Amino acid sequence: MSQKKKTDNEEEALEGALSPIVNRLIDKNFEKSGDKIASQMAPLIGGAIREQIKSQKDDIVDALYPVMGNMISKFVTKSFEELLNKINQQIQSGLSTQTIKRKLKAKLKGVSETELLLEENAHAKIKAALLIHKESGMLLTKVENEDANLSDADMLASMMTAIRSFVNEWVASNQEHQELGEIEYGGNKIIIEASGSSYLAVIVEGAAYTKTYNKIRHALEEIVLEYGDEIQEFQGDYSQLKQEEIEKKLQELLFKESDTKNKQAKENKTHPLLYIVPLLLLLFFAYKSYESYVDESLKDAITHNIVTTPALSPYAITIDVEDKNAVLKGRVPFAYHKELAYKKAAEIKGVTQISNNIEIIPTLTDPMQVSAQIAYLLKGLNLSSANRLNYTFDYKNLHLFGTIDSHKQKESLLKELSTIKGIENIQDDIIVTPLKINTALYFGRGSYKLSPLAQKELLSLLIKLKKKERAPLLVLDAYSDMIGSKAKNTSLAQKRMQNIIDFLKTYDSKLTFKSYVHHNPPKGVDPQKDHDKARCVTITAKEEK
Amino acid sequence: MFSYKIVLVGNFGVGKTSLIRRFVENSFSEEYLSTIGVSISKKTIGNATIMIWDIEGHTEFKPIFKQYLMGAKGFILVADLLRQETIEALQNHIDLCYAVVKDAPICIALNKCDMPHEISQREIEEISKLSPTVLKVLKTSAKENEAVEDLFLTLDTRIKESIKAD
Repeated sequence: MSQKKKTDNEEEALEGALSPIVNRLIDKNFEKSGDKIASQMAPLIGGAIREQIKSQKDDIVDALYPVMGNMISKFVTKSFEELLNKINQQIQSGLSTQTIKRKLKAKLKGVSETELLLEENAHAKIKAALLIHKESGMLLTKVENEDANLSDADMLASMMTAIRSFVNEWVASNQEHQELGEIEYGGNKIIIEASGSSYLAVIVEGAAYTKTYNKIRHALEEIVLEYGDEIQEFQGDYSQLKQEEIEKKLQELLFKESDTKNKQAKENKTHPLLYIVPLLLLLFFAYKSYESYVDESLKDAITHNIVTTPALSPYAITIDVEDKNAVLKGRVPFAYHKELAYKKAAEIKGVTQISNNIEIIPTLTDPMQVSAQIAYLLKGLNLSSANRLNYTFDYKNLHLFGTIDSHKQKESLLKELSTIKGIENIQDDIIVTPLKINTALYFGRGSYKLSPLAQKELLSLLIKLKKKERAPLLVLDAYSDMIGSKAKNTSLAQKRMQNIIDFLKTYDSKLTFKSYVHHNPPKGVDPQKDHDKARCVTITAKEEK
Repeated sequence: MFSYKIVLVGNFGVGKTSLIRRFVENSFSEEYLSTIGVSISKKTIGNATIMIWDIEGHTEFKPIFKQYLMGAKGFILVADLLRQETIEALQNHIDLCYAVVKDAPICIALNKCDMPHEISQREIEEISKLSPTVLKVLKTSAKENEAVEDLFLTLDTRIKESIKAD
């Protein structure tokens, strides 16, 4: 008893002494050879987890849930995202024939469009198809995509046949007449479609729909119908088999299923291109017609604006508008009209440029108008007291007659008449009758100042003088009322004449004068009775010959 | 271009897999690995591709799946010179092969001849008379590469002839 106790104590002591060393050793060992420990532990972990699941399942679930849950939800979310993106893309692809077809199909089948889209997007892609001799497992022919990576199709064909044989034998022993239909691995599956002497092993990526199965069945049917006998009699000699033809048939299958999408994609790619050309043409024509519409409406607007302008309405002005550039054509009598037409065209908004090709052609040759112009001219001249001008106008021939003050006036008259269009011949019978200057100015008693009336008389005298081509010598005769002294009257007479000369000279310095003082009243004036008329100065012109 | 299938039939452990490995890869391993189900090898000779089916050896409790034999153009039956029962089983194998593929040529390999064995020429002749379809009976050794090529090529020649005749 005491011996045992002693041993226990010794063990305790030993444990106490060794445990720090052992712990250190373990720590060191972990640091040094972690990899080794990991490889030693690895086989145990599986068992440990299994044991833990057996006894403490909930613990494991709780421990792994946060990780696994996240992982799964992440994966699912991502998958859905991709699917959604694909569907969105297809919906956004807009109004293609594909879309219309799908819409119709959805209506006819009573299925939602989304379902059809899902089916379209669940990518069932045939990677490879192998036609295999049923009994021997010999590969008759195969087709594969670039990404199929069939390393050894012969082996695959044989192995497939072995597997198929195994299953069929096993099923047969269970007395059920059923065959192996497909084998799944990862995201792929091998669909097996068998006929009498051969079968098709089709490697499909992704979810396969009835459509896919039907296609495979159809392909096999066609092959069997056409090449069934050859396949049945196949003994191993490939020269007896129309391998290439069969391959072509299989290729269709590959195209139909896997390349439909590519094809569609290509079609979708080529579609817009095909549409673009007519679209561009359409756009071009639309643009052109729009342009011509714009031009047409601009033309209408300008025409309206010009026609409704009274000054322009009588004239035929045509307007052409091209590319918003307006061209004005036509004939008007005056530059004024041309300018006005330009102004009116410029008032229209949208016109970028105006070419004013309007010609100015003075066309006022209307006899009435010519006659009226002549009449105006002559009337103006006749306002001047001495002129008595008249005319007759027999279209293009003008006959002038009457009297006119001066040659100067006559010349200017003829010059003016020559500018009037419509007059070709002028028969000139105008007689120049010089102006008679005979003016009497009266003064107050003892006054030598010019009365306002006298000034007026002098001014009209000056006007008359202006009309003369040469100023005449003016003769001033001063008469007396014979009241008062002779000397006083003489001085008054001289002062009066001087005043007149000064007045006239302020207006026309070139005038020349000759003055005479008379000590008697003018002829026929009685100074006793009419002394107001006796105090006068007469002005007469002495024409030079 | 030719392509055909041959099947090696025999009891378990007679050396079917070893013979194939010697013929296809020209290698040998002392290690025994029982074939489960079927293992298939490919060998190209000239313009012919041979698919060699190495099926699970026959045991008391496990018959050979007939399906594996179907479509074969020839058979190689293998027996172990050191195990009499494997030689005795040859008749059953021949019958099985005949039942599945009539008139398919058969070569018989009496394997492991590198080991000390006792078999008389008379016995070998008897074996060759088991069926008219038996082409040749050969004493082979996968280990020493004895008569392995002969075994396969004899069958190959005959099969090619029959295919061409068709």
